[in-house]
Amino acid sequence: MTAVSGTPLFGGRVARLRRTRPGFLTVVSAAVLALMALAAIGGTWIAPYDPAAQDVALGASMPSWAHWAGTDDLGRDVLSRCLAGARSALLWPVIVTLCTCAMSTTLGLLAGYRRGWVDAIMMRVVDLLIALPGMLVLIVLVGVLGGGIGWAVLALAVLFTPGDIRVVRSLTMAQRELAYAEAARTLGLRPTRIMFRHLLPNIAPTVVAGALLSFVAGLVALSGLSFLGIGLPAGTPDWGLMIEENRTLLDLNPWASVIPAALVTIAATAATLLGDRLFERLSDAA
Amino acid sequence: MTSATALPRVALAALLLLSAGCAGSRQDRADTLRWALSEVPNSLDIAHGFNNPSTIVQFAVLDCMVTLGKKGEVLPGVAESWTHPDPLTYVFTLREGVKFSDGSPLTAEDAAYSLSRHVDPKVASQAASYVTMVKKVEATGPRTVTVTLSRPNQAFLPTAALAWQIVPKKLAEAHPADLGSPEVGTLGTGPFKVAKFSLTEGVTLERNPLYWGPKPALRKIELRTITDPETLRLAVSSGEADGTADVRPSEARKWTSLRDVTTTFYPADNIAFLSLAVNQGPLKDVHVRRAIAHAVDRAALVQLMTGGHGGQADLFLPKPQLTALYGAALPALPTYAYDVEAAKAELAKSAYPRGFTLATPYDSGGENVKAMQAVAADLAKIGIMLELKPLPSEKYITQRMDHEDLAVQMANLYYSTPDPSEVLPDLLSRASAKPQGFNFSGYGTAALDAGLDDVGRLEGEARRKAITKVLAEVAEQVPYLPLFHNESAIAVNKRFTTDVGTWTIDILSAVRPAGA
Amino acid sequence: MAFLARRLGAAVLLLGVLSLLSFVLLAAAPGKPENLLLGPRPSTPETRAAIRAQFHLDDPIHERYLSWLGGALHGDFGTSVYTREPVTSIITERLPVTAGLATYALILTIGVGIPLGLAAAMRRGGRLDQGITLTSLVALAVPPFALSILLLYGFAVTLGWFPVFGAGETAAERIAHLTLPAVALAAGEAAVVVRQMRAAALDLVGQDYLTFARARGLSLPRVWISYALRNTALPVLTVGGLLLAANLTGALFVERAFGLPGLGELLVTAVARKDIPVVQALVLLGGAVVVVVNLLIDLTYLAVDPRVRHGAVAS
Repeated sequence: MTAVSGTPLFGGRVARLRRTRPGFLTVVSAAVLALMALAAIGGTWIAPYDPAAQDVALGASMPSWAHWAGTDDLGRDVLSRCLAGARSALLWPVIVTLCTCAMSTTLGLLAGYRRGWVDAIMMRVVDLLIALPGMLVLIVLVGVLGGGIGWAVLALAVLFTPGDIRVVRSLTMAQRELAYAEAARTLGLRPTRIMFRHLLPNIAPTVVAGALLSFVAGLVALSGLSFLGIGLPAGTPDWGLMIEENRTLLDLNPWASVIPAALVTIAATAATLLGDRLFERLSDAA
Repeated sequence: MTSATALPRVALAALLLLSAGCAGSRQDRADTLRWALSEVPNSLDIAHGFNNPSTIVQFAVLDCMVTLGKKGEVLPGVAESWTHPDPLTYVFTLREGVKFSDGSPLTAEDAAYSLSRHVDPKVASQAASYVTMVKKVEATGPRTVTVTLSRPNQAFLPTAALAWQIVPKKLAEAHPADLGSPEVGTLGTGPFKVAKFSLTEGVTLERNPLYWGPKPALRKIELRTITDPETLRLAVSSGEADGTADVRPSEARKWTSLRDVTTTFYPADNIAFLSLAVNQGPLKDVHVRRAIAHAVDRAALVQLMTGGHGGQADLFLPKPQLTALYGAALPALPTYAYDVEAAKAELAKSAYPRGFTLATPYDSGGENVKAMQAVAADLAKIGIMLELKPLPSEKYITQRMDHEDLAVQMANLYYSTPDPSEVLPDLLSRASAKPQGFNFSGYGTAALDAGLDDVGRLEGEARRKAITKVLAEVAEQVPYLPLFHNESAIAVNKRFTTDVGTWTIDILSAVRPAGA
Repeated sequence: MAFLARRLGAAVLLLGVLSLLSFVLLAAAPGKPENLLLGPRPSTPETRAAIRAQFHLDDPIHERYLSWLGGALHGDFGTSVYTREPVTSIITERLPVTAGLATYALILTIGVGIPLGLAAAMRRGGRLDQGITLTSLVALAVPPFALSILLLYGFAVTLGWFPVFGAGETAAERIAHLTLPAVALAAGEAAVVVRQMRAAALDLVGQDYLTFARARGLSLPRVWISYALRNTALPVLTVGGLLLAANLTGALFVERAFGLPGLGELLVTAVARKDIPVVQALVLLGGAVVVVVNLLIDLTYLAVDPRVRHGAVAS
């Protein structure tokens, strides 16, 4: 028993990760994401105005002392809406990521560990799902189901999962042949216990790095759906929705759509950079 | 792979357009109009194509029995005169010598059949609901047609200016379901005849030399469909198209800023309103409805939705209909000024003094998205929370027509005649308070139904009084909150002028070469 | 041959599943497309029934699918319920815009991505490499529609160099209209190619034949261009093919942002209108594009690389 749990869980990798100094850009990215997370939590309190407060008589206006980023055509403060919009723009992609991780890890471990017919069937399905034109399927699915954000999140998770299943499966297949897994089997541990208690910790770093990329893909896809007017109700402060709603105001107050567009871009870039660096470290360490 | 085949297409299209551009500089095109439509005309028969792009072509080709004048008055069309011997009977006398564009003469049989076909289930006409009051249509002489109504209805004559398009009986009888399709086409007595009709390549009309009226100013009209509104605007701006009537009021700003294009605005026969479903929940309470009426800042909505090309509505009828009915002296009825305090006071009188929450579906692809947000924000100020639920257009409309989740809905309905009977019964009668009906408020009483009957039946001053009574009840009970009316617009480039108003039926014939 | 047959079988299966899935989803969702057709006007039950009959909206779902399938196999994809145009002509009308955009973007992607990737690999670790790697990372993350808005504002509104909306009509106009959208679409994809190219080229550095070529005294750029390029052709070709497929099926954000009347925009409106024939044809077209591109990539591998060819035969 002790021998099994005493195997180096994260290999030597985590130790190596801790030892190397993170680069400047990695720190900046992490800081940016942390700031955005703060806005997501407390954005509505820091916002100078109520993000839903309208002044239709004022309409769309350029930035001024009263409204630093101007207003949209319903006279709502763009800055406040950007701050408040962080919540919906970031929360839903996080949920997509969690769903994707949960599904891909469970199914990938199962397929990679059990092999046999479970694996064969799952891989056929994965092949099929991967071959689908994703965006097309997403639009049809969410459009037909009525356009709620819940369906969009679920559909995205289902579309993202197959790719991650492949990764988890191949990692599991490599790990199950290693000595510690062999030992666990010899000890007669239940397969679920071996999969989740012993194999999972060893593939976890890759799963985390993959999760960051899922988060980016989710962020981009969900803000894209909002941009198409699918998903969130009109009026919700949300970056993607703001880009769409204010797209026609480029001549009256361009900042109303340019700022949220820049925010989505920055968030996606920061998360990609973090994920990329994490992968680099992992492959260097391996 | 796909792109490899597409590239030559693009190049070919470009070449064709270049050559078209060269031809365009020649003067022989002065009386050729290139008109842009935002949607495809799908049928040249109102029975199967009762929609804007289709009717604009239909009215250039087909004459109606009567037509509308500048003030909405009913004028002779193919009928040179008519009598109205009793409330149920109209006797029309046809003009002499009217011929279809193939040379065959127009008979009273043709004229009679052209109306009665709309009630034929084999035709399944989209205009059927316009002629439900017609009991019998007969050719009672070589030049006389007698119409008998099942109940007196003042809307009959003005709707005859739209729905009673004259087609040859022989052709229409042979093609009940597909008259007006590209394969069958149509035949009319109007100012133009169809030279080409294709769903993909558009429509070409030519001057009808046999037309009985004044010679049309245009020799040829080429109609093309450009579905993307921005592309359409660019096409008109660059001179590729000479004009369009598909100017969205919300985009007026973009059109008026175009050089070399004249955009003319005129009052549309429309009314935008909120329907408040009175049969369940908090909206059952008249104080709640009045509170809503006070809480909505309609002046701000007008600004948002019409950009200055419209005005606030207080009475529940399109503005041109009100003008036709009352002139400038509108009846003094209760109105609800924008007043948050008054709204709160009204709400305090109801069973929901602190407000409530209502699920409010809306069309996420429709034009009212911004307006619904503005309304929701206004109502939030008095504690009424609208939970906006986005639905795809088709789902939203289906749900609305099935009368599900009606609660608070916004609609902007466009009409075509100056007669209030086209508006009021649909929106207020108990008969249409059922699924597929247009009474989205569900409001209705036996007394109101009787009042609506009076509106259809009476004439002159008595009718005016009956209408005022209905409007007063709406103002009192607020099943609907009138929001605004707006203007429509027509845009043409410098080579053409237009004389189009609210009641212009044949828009294309109202366009003429500049200086002609 | 067996390989090809198997691939074709899989392709047909994929298209079948795709079309069946979307058909069932669309048809099973409650709704009445005839309402949109009739517009905001009262109608009689007879009229509504006639339209439902005309478009076979009340037939059992399997009959509708089979009759659709029968037509589709003969190249007849039916008529749009909403505009009543034949679906094939709606699509051919819009295809040039999307295809032009996709091709333009692919040209930009390859034209910019390969040289930059090679340059980064040649100067591994240098300033240039770092700059290119970082830029490509940013480009990779930018959502195309957000980039579209930024480009629109920068180059079309502020500088006025490019038109704001629409697809243009003449060839020159079309290129001008499609430039910004193509850049927006290509940015992220060029980044993928840069990274792919750089990685592939670096993999080669350690290979013997490259060392040998250097030893023979060939100049460095010559070695890179003639050897590295040839040997990295396959992975780049793969990526290029996949990108073309993605461009053809997923350009809808860019199309929407720039007001381009392309296939993506058509899909979004057709789904909202529940215009089943149009959606079906687009889904099938999208699936076919993906399948064909994948098949072509595999065939190219077979033709170009003997190692793969033998491997395929062996399996």
